[in-house]
Amino acid sequence: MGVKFLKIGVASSGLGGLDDVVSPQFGRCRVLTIVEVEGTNIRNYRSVQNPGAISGGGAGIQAAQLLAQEGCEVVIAGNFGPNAFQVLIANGISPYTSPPVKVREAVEMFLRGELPEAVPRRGGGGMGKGMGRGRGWSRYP
Amino acid sequence: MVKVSVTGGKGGTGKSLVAVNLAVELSALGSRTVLADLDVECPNDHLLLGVELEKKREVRIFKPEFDYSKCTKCGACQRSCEESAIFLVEGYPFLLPNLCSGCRTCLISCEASAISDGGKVVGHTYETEARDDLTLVTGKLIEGEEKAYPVVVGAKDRALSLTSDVLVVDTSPGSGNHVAFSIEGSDVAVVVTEPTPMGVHDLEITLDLLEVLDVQPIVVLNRSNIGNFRPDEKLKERGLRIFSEIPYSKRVLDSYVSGTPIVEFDKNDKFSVEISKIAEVIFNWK
Repeated sequence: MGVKFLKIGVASSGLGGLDDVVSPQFGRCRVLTIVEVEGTNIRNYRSVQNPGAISGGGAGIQAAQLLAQEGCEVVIAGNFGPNAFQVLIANGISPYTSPPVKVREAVEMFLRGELPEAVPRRGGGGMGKGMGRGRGWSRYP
Repeated sequence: MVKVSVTGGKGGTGKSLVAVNLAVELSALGSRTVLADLDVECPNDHLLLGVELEKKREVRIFKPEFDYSKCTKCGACQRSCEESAIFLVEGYPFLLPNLCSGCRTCLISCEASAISDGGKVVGHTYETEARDDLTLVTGKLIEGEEKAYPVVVGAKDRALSLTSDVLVVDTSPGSGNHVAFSIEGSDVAVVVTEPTPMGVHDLEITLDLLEVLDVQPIVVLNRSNIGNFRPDEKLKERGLRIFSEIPYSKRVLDSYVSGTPIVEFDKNDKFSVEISKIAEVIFNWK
């Protein structure tokens, strides 16, 4: 039985890294910590600046696009906007919801199967321009 | 052609009521009048005039359509999109239609000619003969669409294409881009406000905007007798004064509900008298 390799993107509130805290918002998080996992062990990690953090609109879309380029299969954040959700799913990346714990703990919780899969939010109410102006997931049935 | 905008910042001050009555009055004076209802998110001047909208025409904007057989997966369209409306899956572009502003940058950026104009209807314009010498042009955004601007542009262009002596533009509330565009090019702006803190606050923003657009304001204080927060001092600082005061009247409400403009409903009501006063200024505008 082969050992499974997995790349997990974690939305991080501060400068990234395993001791940083999971950001409540995916699209507007400052940094994405890309954690490489082999089986149930963390092998490597690095921090990538989130292009969405400073963009005018479409923050979550840009963050999701970055994770797709990085080859992530899983993403962890407190919450996902409807547009980001659509881009993630289209790129085969599974979003998971985490409380604001340390990145390391969140990854371990995921590996133990303790994190719930994120559900698309209904109705309006994102944070950034783009999804915050009252346009909802309901538009994309 | 004399161009007059009816605006005011705050919602519900009576912009549409003034615009409709002013347009009717001007046409009654013998001016060939076009009224442009540019409050495209909830246009209802036709209800105040008691007419049904006619001569519907589509307002379309550009929408990219991707030809995946030509796409080289270069990603230029995604990188060029200011609205982040394009995302890539396995290198191929996909569109988030509600974010697309129809700007065509992706079309220009695509060297493989894999993008064409799929077109998207965002609203409609209408042209209605409301009275003998009065044509109503209405812009109406499709419910759920987010880009009001193209519809405002479409409706204003349609209004300007008609031959007339006077163009009366009824703007939406606020002072955003499409309000500025609605007012732009006007000779004079009738600014409708009310004696409340919100009314005065938004009046000042509107006056700032008019200064930028270099349009002369005529300030109208509506419902002047049911509020005590007056803009007189603020106006004085700008060298302006209230041109017309319209007290609240039950007759106006009756006319409003019946779908007959007050200038036709009751010529002697204070509202009608004040409208005639404004209409005279516009009629004699040189």
